[in-house]
Amino acid sequence: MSENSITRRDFIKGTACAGLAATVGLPLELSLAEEPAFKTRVVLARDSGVLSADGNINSEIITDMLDKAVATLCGEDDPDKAWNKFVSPEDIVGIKSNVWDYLPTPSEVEQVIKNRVMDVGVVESNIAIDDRGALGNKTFKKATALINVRPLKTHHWAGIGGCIKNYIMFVPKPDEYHGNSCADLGALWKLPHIKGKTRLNILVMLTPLFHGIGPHHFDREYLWDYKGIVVGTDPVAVDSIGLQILEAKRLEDFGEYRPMTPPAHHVRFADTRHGIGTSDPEKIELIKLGWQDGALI
Amino acid sequence: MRNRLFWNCVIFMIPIVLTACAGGKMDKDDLNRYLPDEIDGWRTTGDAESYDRDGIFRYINGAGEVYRQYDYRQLLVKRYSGTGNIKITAELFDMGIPSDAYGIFSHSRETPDIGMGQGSEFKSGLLCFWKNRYFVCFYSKEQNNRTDIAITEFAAMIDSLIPENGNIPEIVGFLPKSGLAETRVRFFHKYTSLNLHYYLADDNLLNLDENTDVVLAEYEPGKIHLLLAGYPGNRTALDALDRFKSAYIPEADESGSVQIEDGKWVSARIVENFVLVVLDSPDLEKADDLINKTIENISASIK
Repeated sequence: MSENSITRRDFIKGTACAGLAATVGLPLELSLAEEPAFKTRVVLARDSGVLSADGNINSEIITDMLDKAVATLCGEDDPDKAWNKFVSPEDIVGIKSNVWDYLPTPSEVEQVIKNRVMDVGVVESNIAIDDRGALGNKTFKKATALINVRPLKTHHWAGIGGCIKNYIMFVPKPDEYHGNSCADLGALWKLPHIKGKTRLNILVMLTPLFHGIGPHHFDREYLWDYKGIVVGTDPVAVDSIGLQILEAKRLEDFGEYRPMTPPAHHVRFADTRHGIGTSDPEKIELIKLGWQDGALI
Repeated sequence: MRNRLFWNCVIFMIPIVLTACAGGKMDKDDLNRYLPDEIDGWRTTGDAESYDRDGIFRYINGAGEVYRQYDYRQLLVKRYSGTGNIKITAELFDMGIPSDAYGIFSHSRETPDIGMGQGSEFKSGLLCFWKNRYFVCFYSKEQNNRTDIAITEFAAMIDSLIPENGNIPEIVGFLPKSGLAETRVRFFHKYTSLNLHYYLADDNLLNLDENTDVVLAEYEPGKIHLLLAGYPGNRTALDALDRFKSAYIPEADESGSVQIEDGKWVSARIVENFVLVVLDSPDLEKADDLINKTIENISASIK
């Protein structure tokens, strides 16, 4: 057994971080450890009016949610100033989206981001939105800044499809990162053409998927109107918050603890093995804005 | 001398290559036969899609990896239109061998059998069954009562086109029946698959690979897990048991049983070329009982 190997018993004993138990399929029971000196900030913004009865997204409300989240993230009152802290007019911006048929990044969200980037002063020709073609996209190749935006879902092979996993299209052979249930997706973020470029990670949780069935791992029954977005600069912290919400929803819906299969251990490894962010919930400062009913966290 | 050796190799390889090509063609013909372009008023719309072992990611992205943990060969996808303009998508996976068709079916099974193929379920408009070396799924994007009925009828027709049953993995038959949660029996080969269902460790503590047959089952009450792994021989089984015990339950004595930190019991034993591990047992008696009954079943099959 390798030196750094962690077993299920390590989580049960608490010698591995108790807050990460969900990443190996154990119930999440946070220990009340000492407050860490530094916490990674993540903002959860929700609004009960963002979706109409037929599921359409209200553009004004989603804009407001995103503005408030970005402003809160950097401690600004003025959203315009806040966006300026993440993007500058000289930047070439790649907005890494997700086109999965059943639950794509909503075009309304993509458009809000694009508008805000243009408001900062970035010319339209220096902005691209892409997913599957991102690796070969001319604008992405020149990009100085990336904004990572995708919906949250459970995933057949990675446990969850979140911000960390969304960069898998930045390599020519994604399957090279599939080993041990995508354990090392965090390594993607250290590739030279990616490293240090991501300014914002936005997990779209308007209608997240908390369970899936069949070859496509999808069932409408397991979508729910959470009406939220999770925003941060740290993709691991953002995914960790998203994962906790999904686990809480599964507990609520199934009436019993049903571990995610597979467990989303890539979130933990992105932190402990690859050092690209913070997965430990105890080290994350979560700020919740707006609608609080059913926040599940 | 070298030239002669080269040509001997070429001559030797020709029948092998031809056989392999013929096999591949036959597989594709079989798939088309079982998903015909026209059947009882249903007709395909658009082109059929076919995905081999490397190409499956193009169809279901990273989820394709679940299939590649088994002997997955080929996927044929056809979209049908029938009476009342109902549209059905049919996906036929050639899993290479019957046990792996059973395995992929068992992977995500949640609901009781609906009596189709050799094992089936129908949930939220998605009907899947396995039969022989095939795993087949049907769904309609517009799900309602009409499409549910149409899918059931359509699937029954495809079921009847696949002529023979295949064998369920022998190891599944060794599971004690009492208390077994039928929908939570998973059959697989590798530790990556084990970790999908029950995360034991980052490392491969039980030396599982494509040569091992593994069944993980849940028992009620108490959600006790029984993991039964069959190895190519007694020596490899013994090595696996030793590794598991030293890495996971190092404090265990010769009995192989330990009460761990959550108050539950873990027991590990070996019989012939099988390693048996009970996890999450509320007491030692239940763990022993499960192991002893499994050993009885294995012994009975050997006699």
